[in-house]
Amino acid sequence: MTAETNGTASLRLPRWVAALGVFAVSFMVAAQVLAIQMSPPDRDMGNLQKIMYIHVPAAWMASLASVILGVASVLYLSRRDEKYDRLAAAAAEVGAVMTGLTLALGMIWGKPTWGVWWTWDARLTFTAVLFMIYVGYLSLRAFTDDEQRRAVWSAAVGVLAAIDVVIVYKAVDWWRTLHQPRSSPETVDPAYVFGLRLNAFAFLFLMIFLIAARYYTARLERAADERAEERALAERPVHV
Amino acid sequence: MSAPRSAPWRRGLFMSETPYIVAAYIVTWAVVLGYVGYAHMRHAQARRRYEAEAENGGAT
Repeated sequence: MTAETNGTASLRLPRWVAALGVFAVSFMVAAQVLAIQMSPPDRDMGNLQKIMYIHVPAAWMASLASVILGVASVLYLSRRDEKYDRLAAAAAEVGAVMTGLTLALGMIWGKPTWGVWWTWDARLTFTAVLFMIYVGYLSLRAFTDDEQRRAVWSAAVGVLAAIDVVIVYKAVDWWRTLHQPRSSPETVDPAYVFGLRLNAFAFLFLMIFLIAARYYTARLERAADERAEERALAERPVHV
Repeated sequence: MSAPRSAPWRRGLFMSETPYIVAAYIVTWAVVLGYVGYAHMRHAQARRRYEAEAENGGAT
């Protein structure tokens, strides 16, 4: 039994996590309404520009989640502390959701602007690869029973996700892509920067909440497993 | 000369790009609320399991 779960598992989410969840969802509503109302239509894309306020923050959070996954995986491999494995798993799940959302929103944006739902552009392809790595990571965890082996193998896959996200980030520099250059105050019109920042913070708060919620749930699940194991050992018949 | 994109009649609700914008925001909220609900449900499930293990005389 680990010290972290030994009789100290809290049955409820910490108050700051629950409060952050309510705040993040409310902030996201306000940020989207404000950004949509404030920004004028784009010269080329018209009102399709409004999709930027959800697609770009989702992509940033997908990348950030893979960085958290990579760091937690390396920390687990070097220290073998269960809490890093739990953090990596939580980041991978949220990262998979954010990457899936990024791809779906990119397709919806791509059809009216590029004329196609999907193209094998470098950035799109490596984002799809990132999604596959996340799915592989979660599948590996679901199908491996031995906890230590599961943690080590999934940590190795977690490092792969962190490597892939570097390629996703640099893809627009390394290849001539259909995808536009990365969004930053230098490449985005000043009229859209405030709205984009606001929505990036909304997605960040949401992601911190989701990772924390999944982390504490995993801790509680582990504590329940330990109780079940103890009960099974206590009920085992003694042969004399 | 064609009308500029910022003309008031161009900012109406029903332009050709409207379905894409609406679809994007619906997908986003479906994913956000769906995953928040899933996270809440998984935590409630874990809590019930932990309580059941405690009642069954797990750790004594």
